[in-house]
Amino acid sequence: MTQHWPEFTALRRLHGEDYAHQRDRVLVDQTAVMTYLPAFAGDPDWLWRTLAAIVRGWSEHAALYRQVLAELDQVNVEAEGKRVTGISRIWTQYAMNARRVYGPAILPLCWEVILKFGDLWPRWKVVTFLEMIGAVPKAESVEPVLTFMEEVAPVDFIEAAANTLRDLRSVDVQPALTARMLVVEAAVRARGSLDPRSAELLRVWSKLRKEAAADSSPP
Amino acid sequence: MGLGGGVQRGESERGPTAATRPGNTMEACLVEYHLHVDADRDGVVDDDRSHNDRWAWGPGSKGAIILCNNDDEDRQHCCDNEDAQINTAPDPDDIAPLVIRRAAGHPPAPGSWRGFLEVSAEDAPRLRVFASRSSGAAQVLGAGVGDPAQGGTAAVLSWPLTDLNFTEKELGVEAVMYAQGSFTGEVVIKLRIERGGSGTYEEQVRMRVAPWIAFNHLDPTTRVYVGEAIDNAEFRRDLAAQVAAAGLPAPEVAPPPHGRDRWLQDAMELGFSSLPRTGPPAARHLPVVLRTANNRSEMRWGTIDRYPRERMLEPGFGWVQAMPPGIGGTLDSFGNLECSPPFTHSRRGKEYKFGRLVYGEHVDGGARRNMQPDVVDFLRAQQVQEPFTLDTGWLEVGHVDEVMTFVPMKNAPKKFKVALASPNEALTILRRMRAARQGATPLLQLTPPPPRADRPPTDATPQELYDNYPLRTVDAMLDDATFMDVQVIVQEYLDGVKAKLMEELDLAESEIIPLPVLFMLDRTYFIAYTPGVVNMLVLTKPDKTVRLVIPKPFGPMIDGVCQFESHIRAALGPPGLTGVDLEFVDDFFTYHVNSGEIHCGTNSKREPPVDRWWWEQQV
Repeated sequence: MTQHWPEFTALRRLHGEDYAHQRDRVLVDQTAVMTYLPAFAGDPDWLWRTLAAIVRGWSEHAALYRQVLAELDQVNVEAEGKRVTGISRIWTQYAMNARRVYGPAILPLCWEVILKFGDLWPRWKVVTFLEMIGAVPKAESVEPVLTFMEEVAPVDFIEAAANTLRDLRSVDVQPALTARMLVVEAAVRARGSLDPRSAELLRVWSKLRKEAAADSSPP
Repeated sequence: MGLGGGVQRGESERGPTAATRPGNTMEACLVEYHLHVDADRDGVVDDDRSHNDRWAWGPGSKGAIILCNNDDEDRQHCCDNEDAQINTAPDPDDIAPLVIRRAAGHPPAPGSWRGFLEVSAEDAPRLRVFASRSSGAAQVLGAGVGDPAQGGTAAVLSWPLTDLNFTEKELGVEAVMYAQGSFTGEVVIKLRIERGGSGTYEEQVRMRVAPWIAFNHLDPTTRVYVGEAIDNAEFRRDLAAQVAAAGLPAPEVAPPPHGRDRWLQDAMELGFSSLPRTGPPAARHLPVVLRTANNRSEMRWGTIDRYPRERMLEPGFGWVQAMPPGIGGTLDSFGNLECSPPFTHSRRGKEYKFGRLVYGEHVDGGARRNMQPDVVDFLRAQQVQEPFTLDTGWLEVGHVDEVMTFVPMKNAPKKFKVALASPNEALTILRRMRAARQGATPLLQLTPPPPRADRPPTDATPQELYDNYPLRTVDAMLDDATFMDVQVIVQEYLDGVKAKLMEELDLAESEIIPLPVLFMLDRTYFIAYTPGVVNMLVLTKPDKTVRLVIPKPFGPMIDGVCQFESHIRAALGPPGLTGVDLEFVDDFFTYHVNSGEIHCGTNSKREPPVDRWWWEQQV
């Protein structure tokens, strides 16, 4: 499959503006989109599925995505910071928009932002997309959020996604979380040392697992 | 077995305790070493050690106490319990005694005997034991310092005593952390004596970390805090006048850069911890500031959250955080955490000697629209102020201080009442005025100040902010169907808040004072339209009378009298009877237009009570 649509498969390794340019190139060829996207959308690999969903999302909801991105570019961060709510007013507003107005249509944009721009954009803006993910809880969001934490977010930004995982369904989150923890723990054992990223991941994820266990235990 | 005679000790004298229980090898020997602590909580180490291994709440109960020693006696800009020694005097006062005593009349142990003081791996990071209770004493047991992987030291689980040639050795103990998570607040320290190949003797003491206790409005105010924002000089002047009128020292002004972030209330919650001592008072009180879990600069407010650690931490003033600060949400601000005055819940038969904590929640709001679990866990783990929640998720800001406050009132049955925001009260006033043909009377009569010269061009001018409040007469408000619908909806929410307060605080209807506030809808959430008069600063005097500094409501004026103000004065009663004095201060263009009020922009330190002790509460 990958050799048939190299423009798309390049998205997997690209990041930031390079990724955005490539995504736009992919979208130009709608014939290829129509031909190849269904196969990627059904791929066993979650990242192919997610990239396919992002491309489909841009194909179907580009106006919405551009509107949301433009609105966020217009936020007067300085003015928000004077208010007692701080920038969280924007998060609350967009979480509510996602819940009531955008629905699941907004999720591919959110996944794209956290995976491809999560370490590049201002943190308040990335959190806005994390909040929208949490506001429309879908199982498909779990792997993108975990990958954001594991591979994209700077170490001191990893915990920002913990609240998003709390908002997703525990039955979706916990198996994936457990699997990721095993991988990280195995890597730590193999290296023989605990690097700061692994330490932070294991700290945050362990906490989430404990919370979930406490929530599911009888009172 | 023994060294000389064969005297049986222990059981015949004191009954079967942990130290003398049959089978314990110590009971047959002539040399006994025991642990002694202040289990009866009078500030003096007890001879009696029969309760050392238990800890109980309540009057007359036993169990030793240690203090989370988080002030900074030597002004090193770190908490005393972050290093491995007892710091400059009076740091020893923060250290609980732990005494190893050789039984009276017993000879020293043989040279082959070895003594060890030990803690479990679980407890080790929670405490430090020092070689004595003097300044400079080195840590011998307990928590490490820093991260061992980065050059720090590891925790010490076992400390071998140099020798046993003493009749009494006094050690000191401090806590490194408060109860939280799996840590209930209790730690166990064990004495183990290896008797030269003739068996081992063990006994233990159980100690509890003194909880962090939030101040409440019945605690006398000792200091007021306010931030130096770019536009609040006039407000600070007015506030200082009110603080002076209450007989208090001038407010502590957090200067820039901290103070640019004006929301002092949201950055911290002030409280205290107490250790028994010989009185009076019968406790060593340590005021402790709990910082918000929000990293406020990451959330684009500013740096006032760093003020507690960078400026307030000092000798006799501790600092703590419930979790490393991160990107939370608005409900993590401590305007969303208040504490009731003390009361007894008669229907539940429970006395809350230090009141109850109350915070707002947004039930379907998602994790970031609720207080962080670690913070809630911290508050619950302290046990003495059993928190409960109010539904504030319908508010844009979501803080409890937007809708209620506790007003000490000397003639009230519980010595306090709850002031609660009420659109109904406001509308009753407006409707009465319309009936009296005063519907054209204006509200919110203000003159916006000129724009600041250094205002960024994208910032709204005061006039533009003022224009966000377009309904400015009695008739305009009453005739605006949407505005009136908002008041109905908000009143329903507030009725729910009232019912929950009455249930959890055992209040009668007459103990709730509704005060006039009108609300507006900002997209999907509600926020005060007229200044939120319940969002006030309560200045409490030593005699428990108070001066309330209330946001000026700018209600409708008749003959130069604001009808909201006169209603509020009447509702709170005559000062001579209630002990409640009050004044209104204009916060409109400095706080109200930014979605907050006076309480949000201030904070207060208070005097811990000297007539009640947390360990005497039944939890």
